[in-house]
Amino acid sequence: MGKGIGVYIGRNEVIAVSAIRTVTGPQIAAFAIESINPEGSQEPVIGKEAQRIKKTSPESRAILKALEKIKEPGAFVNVAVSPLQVVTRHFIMPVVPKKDEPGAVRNEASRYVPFKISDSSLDYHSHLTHKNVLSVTATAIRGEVLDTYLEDLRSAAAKVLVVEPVYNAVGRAFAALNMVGKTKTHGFVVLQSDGNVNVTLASKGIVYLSRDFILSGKMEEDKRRFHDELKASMDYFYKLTGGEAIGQIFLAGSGDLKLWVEYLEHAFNYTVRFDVASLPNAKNIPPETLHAVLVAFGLALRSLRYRSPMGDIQLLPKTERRSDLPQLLKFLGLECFLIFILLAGVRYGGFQPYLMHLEGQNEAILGPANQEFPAFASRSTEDLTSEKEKMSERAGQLNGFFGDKVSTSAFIMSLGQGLPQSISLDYVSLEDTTGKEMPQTGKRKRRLNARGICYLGNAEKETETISAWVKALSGKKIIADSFTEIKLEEIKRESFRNRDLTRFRVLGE
Amino acid sequence: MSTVKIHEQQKEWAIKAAAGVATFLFCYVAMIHPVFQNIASMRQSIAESQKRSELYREVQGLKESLDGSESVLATVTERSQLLGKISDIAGRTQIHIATLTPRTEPDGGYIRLRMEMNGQGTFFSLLKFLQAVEKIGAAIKVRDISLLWKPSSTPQEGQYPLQIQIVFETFLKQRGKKNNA
Repeated sequence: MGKGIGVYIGRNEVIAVSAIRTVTGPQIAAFAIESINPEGSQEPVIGKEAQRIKKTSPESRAILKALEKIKEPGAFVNVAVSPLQVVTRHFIMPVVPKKDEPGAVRNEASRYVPFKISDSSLDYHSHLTHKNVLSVTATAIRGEVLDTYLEDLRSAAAKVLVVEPVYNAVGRAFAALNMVGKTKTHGFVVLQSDGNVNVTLASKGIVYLSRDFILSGKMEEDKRRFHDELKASMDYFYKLTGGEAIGQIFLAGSGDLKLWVEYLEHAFNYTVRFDVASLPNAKNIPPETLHAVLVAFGLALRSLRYRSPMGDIQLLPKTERRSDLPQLLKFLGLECFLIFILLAGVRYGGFQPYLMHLEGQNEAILGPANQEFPAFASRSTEDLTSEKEKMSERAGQLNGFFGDKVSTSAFIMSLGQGLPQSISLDYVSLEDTTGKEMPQTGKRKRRLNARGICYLGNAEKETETISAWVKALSGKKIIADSFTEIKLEEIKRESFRNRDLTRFRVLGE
Repeated sequence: MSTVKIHEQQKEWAIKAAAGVATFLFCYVAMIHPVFQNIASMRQSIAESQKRSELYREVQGLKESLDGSESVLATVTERSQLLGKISDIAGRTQIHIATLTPRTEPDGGYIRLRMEMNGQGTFFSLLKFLQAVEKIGAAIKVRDISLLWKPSSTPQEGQYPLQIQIVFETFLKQRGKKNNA
């Protein structure tokens, strides 16, 4: 079950009511009437709290105390201010397109409202009464007055949901108590403790008149004044509506309302019925108190979704409006849910398929390898790298060893082939100078060392023969493949057994 | 001093925006952020799997290649048989072996076997000997060879005018090596 808080800020008192919805209808859960005391708090307060209270206005202090009394400090509240601060005017105007209606109403209202519309907050209710005739009831409050009230309320930690005129709240309260029908022509009179009386006359949901007058406090004078003002208002209403007479008037507010009801019924010769509110579920609340808190009760009922028969006016500018707690929580919940859904969508709709694709890719790599080589799964990268290095080293060794395709027999044969008869080799060596590290290409470094003699009896011929043989040797494929150069390292003349011959040494590297 | 007035609606939107940002951040940290870590880890896993797979294939390839190459290598226990074969070939090709000295040393995953042979013979017997040794297989290589022509005065010595010194080289497989793969 919901709860609504209404705060009425009069000129000399603040009334706060907490209302709840029960199966038998709306009920007052708590109420407080707090005087606006310009002198400050009567209760001694010390420290920071005292400093804070000193800075706040008397209205703010009264609001704070009233809310504390009903145990709703910092609550979301619906507010009405003294009708003296609010202007309500009824006028008719030609029908305009719906989107142009707010601007047109503001323009038209500026003719009737006694302060600058641009500096005020205005709301209106419109009805199509005749063809192309719009019946408009506009209610406005000066911007600076509203700002002052809002500041007072916010200083008292109240969260303002709605600011509406008093007649809306009173109408809602009587409607919630099933005392007023929607189609009836009726009036609402609210008496404030400061002597101000607000009269609102309405027909079929249209407020035709809402005005105020002040009572002096002298009973006989006030009785006459009350009757005259009410009579004048009803006559004006009669003329304005083209012959509709007020049949019932509801009274609410401070003072002895029963006395006023008796007097007014008698004064109007019982042609008009006067009623006050009665709340069957609030027997513990004295009737005078119930009448006094009825405006605040009507305000509280707005949060419980009770509608006023005269429409729901909102004087709070759009920029100052805020959602009530359930609405805000609902929005935040929805917002969080949508963000969650969005990110969950990104996570499971965007990233999950990609992750699955990566998993599939990984499986596509590992699966065949595991099938082909069952031992693969148990081998780590480091293990495999280490094994590969070892095997590469062994393979390198063997490649180096087997890579040497030179056949030693073929090599020796090539030395013998084409050796001139005049040349005799007495020493041949073929050495491997590669060292311990074998090249991967298999090409070994070799050194050829050959010594011999040549005898032809002519030194020049011997030298030519040796040179020609060395040249021929260099041209042989097997020799050319093994050595980059075959050179005649040494050649000299020598005597052997009384013969002169040529000794030479050939080096290949 | 002018102060900036913040309207209730702006405050409410600020609360809604802050709640939205907070929810977004929370959901991001809880749901989206771990995905990036998963993706990074998965990519790393894929790269590692690819690397492992490639490594394994390379190891398999090397293993096959080594199996082929090593098939012609003798084992340590077959060393004496190699010496015997060389001696037999020398006898058949009329090479007189004076000494045939084997020497082994570990070399990587193998044992390097060097056999130093000293002997005598003729040029043609040497050619036959070398050709016959080469026919044993690719595993035996002549590392060094030196020939010294040393004609002798006596007819018996004249049969082998060539002093031959050959160093054969081969690799022997280590015995009992197990297949890792």
